[in-house]
Amino acid sequence: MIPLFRKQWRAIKHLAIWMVILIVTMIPWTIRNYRQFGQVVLLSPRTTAFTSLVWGDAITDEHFQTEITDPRLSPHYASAVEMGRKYGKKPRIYGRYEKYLIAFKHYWQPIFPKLEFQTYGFRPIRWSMMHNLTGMLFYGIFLPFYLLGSHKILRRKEILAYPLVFLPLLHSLLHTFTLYALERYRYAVNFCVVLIGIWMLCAIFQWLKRKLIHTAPADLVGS
Amino acid sequence: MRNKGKLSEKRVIWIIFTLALTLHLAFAIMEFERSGTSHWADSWEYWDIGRQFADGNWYPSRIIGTGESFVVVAPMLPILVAGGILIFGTSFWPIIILNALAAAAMVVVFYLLGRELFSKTTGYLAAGLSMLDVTFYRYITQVLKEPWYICWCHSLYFFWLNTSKAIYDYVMLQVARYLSPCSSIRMRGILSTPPSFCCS
Repeated sequence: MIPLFRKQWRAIKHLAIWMVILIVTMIPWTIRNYRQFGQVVLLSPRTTAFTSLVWGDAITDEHFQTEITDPRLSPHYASAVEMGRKYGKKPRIYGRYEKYLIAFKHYWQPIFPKLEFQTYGFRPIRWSMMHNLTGMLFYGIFLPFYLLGSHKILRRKEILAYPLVFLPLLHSLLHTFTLYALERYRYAVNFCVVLIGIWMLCAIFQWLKRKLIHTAPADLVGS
Repeated sequence: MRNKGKLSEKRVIWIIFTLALTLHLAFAIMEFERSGTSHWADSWEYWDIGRQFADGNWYPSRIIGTGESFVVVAPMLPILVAGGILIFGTSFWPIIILNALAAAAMVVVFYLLGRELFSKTTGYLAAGLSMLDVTFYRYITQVLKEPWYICWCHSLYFFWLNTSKAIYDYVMLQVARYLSPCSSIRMRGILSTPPSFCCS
């Protein structure tokens, strides 16, 4: 039996404590949900989109039922029609697979300069110039560097940074599946894109600096 | 020297936290005084559920939207709102101050993540960027889960990172110990042993 060190014990102990706290704090609300829905619902009915694959019914479907059967009953219908008229775009119900493709695109999209419709096709979205600018500045410009950095992390087998690479992808698929591809939901994993982006930018900067020093005349380098 | 280094690291974290908190609070005061609740949409839902929780109704119906008879959102934020209402009354400020605290903590965790995963420079840049991220600022003056959820996501990842690092180091150390007889025989084995194993 290999003895564990104090550091490892502490790490495992912390993990166990957190798991216990998580489970204990979830119990009262899960009991309350069971009394209301007659099935085990984790946190909110939205999770039944996934848990219904294993147990119970998907209660979230009821949430959008009116939007699917009669779009006029959607809370966003009036503003969708009004904005559509203003910007010359007519809202319509998206196709069975089309809605997922659009949700995936909207999830990653850093700017919305033109009017577009989200979820089932009746949730209008069009950002102001300032909003688009900040979307680009604090997220959009890092996207290509995130892709480059991810490639570098995978190639160098930096295992501890793998979640940074895969979390946004997994998160985007989850939100595509549930059609909740809103900007504020993406914020939870923006840090992955930004961190890898900054790291990659630093690496490029260092590379350029080295290259410039090597190609510069000797008297400029100071040797 | 070691203690001095540790202290300065703590000081850096406190400086980042204080700066972030000041910026977020200053923005919150200015923005909320200027526009109040005029931009609120989903925030009303959280607020209303929290208000009903504070009244003792744990099965509230949704007020806005399509009128379902159940809570669609997770309970944590409405419970916080209910706590705020019970202690401070129906003022929005307790939740706004809590949002600012969560946002400031998020900046610190962002710095720690950048430092742990990549480098100190990445950490500083990440903290600076998240401190200036005005897109995020607008959630401070609203009753939305975002400041809390995002801070929690960052912290969870940071916690996971530290745990896995400790376990990873342990596994690698045992692998190195197991391989050490081979490496003493074969020079190539010694050379291929990572320096961290040799030091331990």
